[in-house]
Amino acid sequence: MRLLLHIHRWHFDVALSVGVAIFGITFWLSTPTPKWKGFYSPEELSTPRRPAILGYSADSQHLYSNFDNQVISKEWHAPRIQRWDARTGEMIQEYSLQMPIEDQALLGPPQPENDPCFWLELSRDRQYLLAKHYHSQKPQPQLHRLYRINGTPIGKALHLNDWDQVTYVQEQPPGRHWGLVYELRQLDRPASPVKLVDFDSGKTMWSIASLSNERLFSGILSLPGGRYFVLP
Amino acid sequence: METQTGISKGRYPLPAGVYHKVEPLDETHWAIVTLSKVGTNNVNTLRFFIFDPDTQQLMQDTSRTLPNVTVVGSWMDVRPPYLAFVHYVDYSRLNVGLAQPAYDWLRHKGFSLLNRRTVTYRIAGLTKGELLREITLVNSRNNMNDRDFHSIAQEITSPEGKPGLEIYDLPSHLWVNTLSWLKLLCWLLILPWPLRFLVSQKPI
Repeated sequence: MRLLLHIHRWHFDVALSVGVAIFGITFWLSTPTPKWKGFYSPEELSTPRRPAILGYSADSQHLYSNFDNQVISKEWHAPRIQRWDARTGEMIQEYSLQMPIEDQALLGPPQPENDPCFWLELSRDRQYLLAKHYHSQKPQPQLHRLYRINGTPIGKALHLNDWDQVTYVQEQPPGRHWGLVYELRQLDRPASPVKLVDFDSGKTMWSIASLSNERLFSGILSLPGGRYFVLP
Repeated sequence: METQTGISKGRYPLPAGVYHKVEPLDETHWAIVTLSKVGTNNVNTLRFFIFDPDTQQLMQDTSRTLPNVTVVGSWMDVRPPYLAFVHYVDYSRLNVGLAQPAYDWLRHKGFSLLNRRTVTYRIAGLTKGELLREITLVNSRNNMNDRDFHSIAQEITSPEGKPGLEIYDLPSHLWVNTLSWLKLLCWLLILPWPLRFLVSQKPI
């Protein structure tokens, strides 16, 4: 009570002013500020699809994205890639993946009612792009193709089931490009074997039975000495 | 080239979990991170283990559940010595330091400004599990730099509707935590202000 006798109204006013001031400063400091912003500036959009950030380069100096696409066959598109300077936000390069003629034949005529589209993934070692063309509204075989980061195709395309997933395998023997093919877990049936496929020849090299547990995804880890750790 | 069965050099036990990441930790050990579901509301915990493939031993004494961490969603990535994961996805947080019940009450009252969804990314050290960096962004499509987990890219749209992207550096967890506590302390200074009318007017 004695303390209350020493409290004046102006104490509350000062506390309010100090509180609001500190709050404003901390709010400003805690709001993330971007290092840079960059905008896509295509002269003319051929296919106005939503842009996607693919990931950073191996040295973290560049950033890859995908926006706008080159129309190759009415509704099928070859993804267009942008390379940004990760420090300044300057777009350094823009190019399209060089989709082989045979892939276009394998894809067949697009079915606009089933939303023909593609999906892109940058490999973990940042040297390759894995592209998948498919109809999103209809379960049917998909076309997977590996490209170098500069857009040139590698080996043969893989024609896989719509539930199959492909992961690029790092550190294979020189001159070879491997992928691990597995399927997303289906609760109503046992999973198919996990397969190692060769992108250069398009053939399956070996397979290993999937384990029936609660894990959602399979995976592969390259180890020194040509060994691989597989999560089947 | 004929299809054959992969030659297994050994089967290793993995800790129970719905999602695993395995990366070499050093020359002889692997880091195994598992996402385990604990309870309801899609809240998970991360545990990580150090594994010796030569002895096929999961070194249980090195397993840790990261302190003060709940994981929402299923995104996580590991690249020793760092581990990155989504810590929090919030539909209502406006980053003003209010407690969750206060947010919920305000949203219930129709304060629509609070209807911003945010997502918090955190980076932890693998060997000790200490939190190192964190950032909270308005939820969009983000892409963490998984080479060093120091920066993150986010897709944006300009007011004119032009698509683009922006880059953020991740501040240290200590800095973010300090600011968060400061904001809470500010409310202790601000909220008692109406009590001034209970104090008699005296000359200064």
